[in-house]
Amino acid sequence: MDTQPDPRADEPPTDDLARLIRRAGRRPQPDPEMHAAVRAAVEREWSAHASHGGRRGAMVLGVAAALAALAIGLSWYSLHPGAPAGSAEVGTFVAARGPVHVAPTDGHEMVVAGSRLNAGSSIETGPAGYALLTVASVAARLGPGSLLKLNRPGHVELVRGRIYADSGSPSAPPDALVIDTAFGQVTHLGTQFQVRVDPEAMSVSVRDGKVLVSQGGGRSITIDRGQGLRVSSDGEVSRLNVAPYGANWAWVSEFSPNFPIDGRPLSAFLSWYARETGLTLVLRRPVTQADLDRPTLSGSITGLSPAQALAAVMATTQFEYDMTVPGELRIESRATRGAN
Amino acid sequence: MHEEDRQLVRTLIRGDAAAFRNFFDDYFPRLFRFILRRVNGDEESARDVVQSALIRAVRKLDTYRGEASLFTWLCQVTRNELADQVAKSVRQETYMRRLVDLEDDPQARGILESIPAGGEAEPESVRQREDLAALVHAALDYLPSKYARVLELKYMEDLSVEGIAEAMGVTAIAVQSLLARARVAFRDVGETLLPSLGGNW
Repeated sequence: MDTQPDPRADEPPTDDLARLIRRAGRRPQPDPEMHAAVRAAVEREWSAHASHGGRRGAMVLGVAAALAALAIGLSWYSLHPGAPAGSAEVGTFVAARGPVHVAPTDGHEMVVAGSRLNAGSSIETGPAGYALLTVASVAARLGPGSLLKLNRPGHVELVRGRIYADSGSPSAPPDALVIDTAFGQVTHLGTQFQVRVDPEAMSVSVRDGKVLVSQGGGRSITIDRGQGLRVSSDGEVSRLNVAPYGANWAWVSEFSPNFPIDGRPLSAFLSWYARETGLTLVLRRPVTQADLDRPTLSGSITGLSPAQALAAVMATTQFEYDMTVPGELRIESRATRGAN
Repeated sequence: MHEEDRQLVRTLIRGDAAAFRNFFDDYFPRLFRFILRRVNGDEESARDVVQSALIRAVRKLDTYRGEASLFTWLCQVTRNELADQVAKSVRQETYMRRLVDLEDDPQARGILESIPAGGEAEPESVRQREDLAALVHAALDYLPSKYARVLELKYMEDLSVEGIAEAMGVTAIAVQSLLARARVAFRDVGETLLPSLGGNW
């Protein structure tokens, strides 16, 4: 385990090694579709030759992303028997991007939006994979390199990687979602938060609302908005202050649930964007809430990241946005701004 | 002996699906680049060769003994597959035709002819630069994946230690340690692959 910084890591980044790597440029990557297709072919052969040791593993597939323009579609799967009929439903599959493995499912050949995720199933994301699902009433996102086991209704286990949960409202039923990890248990109390697990530690960050972190021996800690907690493998617990926006949350916006804007007011879109990014919406005079409720949007932002969507939508309105103040999404009148 | 690789192979033979996916996602891009350089950048040919080689490899995983690294072993399997495919007359004709097509392509010929003679941009310099890039890429591919990734994040993406930690999902201390080990490993591999540089880098 890495515990001490190595002084050699502080070598200046402009050394010869750095120049050499920069000069060589990026390594060419196989096309993602090619990657997926070849993997399917090789996995079929591997499945036929490997001794599965009792594990009748499942269904492997890629799901075309709902956000088509950004999505990397996968179109392959290999079929094996699914979970026993009648298993308790723990969650619902919503969408995926990149390499994602779901196993086992309720016996269907392919996972699609709305597929049941039964007790005993798991979702695993590859290095560039993202998955959206709902567990109880909570919308959850899995980031790259994650493994989530759905153990029983309301209870999931994050073995590794990162999960983001958003109940949509602080009034969601308490205890609707419990996330077990090797370092402790995180109970959702109506909020937006993320949990990360790696071999060295678990970290919990709360964007809004609160969560309860429980460890063995009956120890529990409540974490509120703007707070975080890190539990290391040696049992050390440290509290942190975490901003509800910024790099810590950037991966969450990489794959968002689709937000239909057609026929909805600008204010709804801006509220969605602020929630996605953790920013606070600030209306600069003379802009009022009523001004933002009036414009009705049309079209679609499918395939756009939240940042791209914001730029695209705002270009069609009489308003400008400004994010130069950390943590704030400022909206002002284009006419007013032009006059300044 | 490459015990870590042997352990991975044993896990694959047992039928661990997660291990297979990690194995594939790690090794396929590296083998793809390994062959791409040998088929004049023809991606479809590279795909055919690597797919066939990996199928061949997973059929005989039990013959891997760990004397060489798994990547080296897979490179050998892939190299043999390429030799077999080239030896087949139909495939050989395809490769030759693709090569001729490229040389006959007006756009490609235009690019070649646009390179001025003499000076910094003379064809030899361009070729040397491409060769250097290929060698550096090969050196990165021979490293454990996390070493190559941390070096690229540091020097290609210009990320801070904290940024790398974020991208890799580890702590900043782990990144510093990883960077130091990756530098050493890259130099070791590079001294083998890039002898013409005489270690002056």
